[in-house]
Amino acid sequence: MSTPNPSPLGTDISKLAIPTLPGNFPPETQKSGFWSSNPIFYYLNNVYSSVSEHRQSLNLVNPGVFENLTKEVSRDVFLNQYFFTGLRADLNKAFIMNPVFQISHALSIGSEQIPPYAFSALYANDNLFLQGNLDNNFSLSGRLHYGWDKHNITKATLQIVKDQPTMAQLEQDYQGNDFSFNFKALNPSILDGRFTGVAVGSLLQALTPKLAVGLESVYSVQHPSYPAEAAVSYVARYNNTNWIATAQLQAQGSLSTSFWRKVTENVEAGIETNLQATMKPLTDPIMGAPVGFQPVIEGTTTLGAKYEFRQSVFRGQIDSQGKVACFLEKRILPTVSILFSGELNHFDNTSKLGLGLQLESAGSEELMKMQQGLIDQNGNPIPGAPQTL
Amino acid sequence: MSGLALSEESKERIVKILDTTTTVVHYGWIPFVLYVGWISTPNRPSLIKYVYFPV
Amino acid sequence: MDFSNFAKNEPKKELSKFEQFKETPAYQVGLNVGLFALGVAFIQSSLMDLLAPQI
Repeated sequence: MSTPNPSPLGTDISKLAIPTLPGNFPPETQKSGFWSSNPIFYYLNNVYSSVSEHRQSLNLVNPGVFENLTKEVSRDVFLNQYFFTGLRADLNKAFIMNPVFQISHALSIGSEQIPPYAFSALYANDNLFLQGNLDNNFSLSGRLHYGWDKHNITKATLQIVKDQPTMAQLEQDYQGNDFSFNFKALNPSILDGRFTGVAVGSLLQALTPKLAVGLESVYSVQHPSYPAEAAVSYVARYNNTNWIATAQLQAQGSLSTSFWRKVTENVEAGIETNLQATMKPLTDPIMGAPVGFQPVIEGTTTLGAKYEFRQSVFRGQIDSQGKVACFLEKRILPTVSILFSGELNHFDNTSKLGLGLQLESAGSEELMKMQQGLIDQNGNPIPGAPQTL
Repeated sequence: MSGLALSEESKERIVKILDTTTTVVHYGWIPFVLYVGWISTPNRPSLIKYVYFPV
Repeated sequence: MDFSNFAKNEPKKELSKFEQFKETPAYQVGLNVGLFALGVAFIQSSLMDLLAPQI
């Protein structure tokens, strides 16, 4: 389709990326003259369209969201998310699978992190995600995600803990074709006459189909009478489908690199090195008075692997601080799994141990049959399964 | 961002509204999630199923 | 009063070259960069493939 009166400079006005211009019918003469023949706008439009054409010709893909930069290593392979101590039992109950609605009761003893009892409820459909967790101290953590379209997600997080300040966080995610942008504000307020709280903006941009670079800037005002603080971090991620390397340089003076590889279909391995520079106060050896600062660098390297078997998942890791840890999750019945986590610190001669039980139960008969492997997700009987139930 | 003209009264009112909202969300969020889930479940499970766990 | 001579008079323990190097930040940097390089080489090597069960 072409416009009846092409602009004097030979550009097809319908191809210009001006959202306000309707493409199908002739634009008003005055408007077209202003938008296309004005040298500044003509130049800007030209630059914009050539940049966006060039971007499309690069075949870039979305590099993933900024906070998932090291997801493969730190969340999939390493134990960070899974490790626990003491005894625990999780009773999960799923009512329906689409949309997802499930509740769980979590009981625990002998742990410093996990509360003795917590109840949580989760609801999720295609664009809405609701989650709430309430423990025996009436501490609440609530989460709401809403996807407006395939690019925009708004997230709200609220955390109310007894005797601690309430944390509220608002977040907006924009995922473009070749970049991801995220903006979040933690406890934002302008009641004290100026902005207080923390504002974080991050951008991850793909440069080639494999390489993405990004930066994150944090602006925080903890108290209206304190000066504001700002910090910028730089990251890079190289994704070669079967292996991923990342690097992060943080403004607080830390550098971390990670490497991940999918060894086979069910084995993954990862390594992460973190170097942190801190200023240690130097004291006079006799008087004990501070005389200055000395830069100290602390470093940790962690190597880990994850094995997925048919009925179990095993994760193990070893780090340069002398810690060896493992986490095992084994399904012993279709609805019962046991969890084991252990850690040995060879330098300190200490150890940690955790044992857990996970019970899945169904809120409906179809789901119960599905959990026991008798029918598939569409309610059709699975061949070979005993049809007695 | 300085010079935001908010009188003490309206500031107090906003703080009060925020506090009330927090309290409402604190005790209402879990029931709300349960309600949304319950309403979207075709057979509307009886409430006892929220705590009853046959193994 | 000048205390600067106090520390000098005390018998100083002899540190070997390596122990001296161990005190500098370069040791931590070198150690961890080396470990990372070794780890990446290990993960990428066929040794890691051998550690994967054949199922």
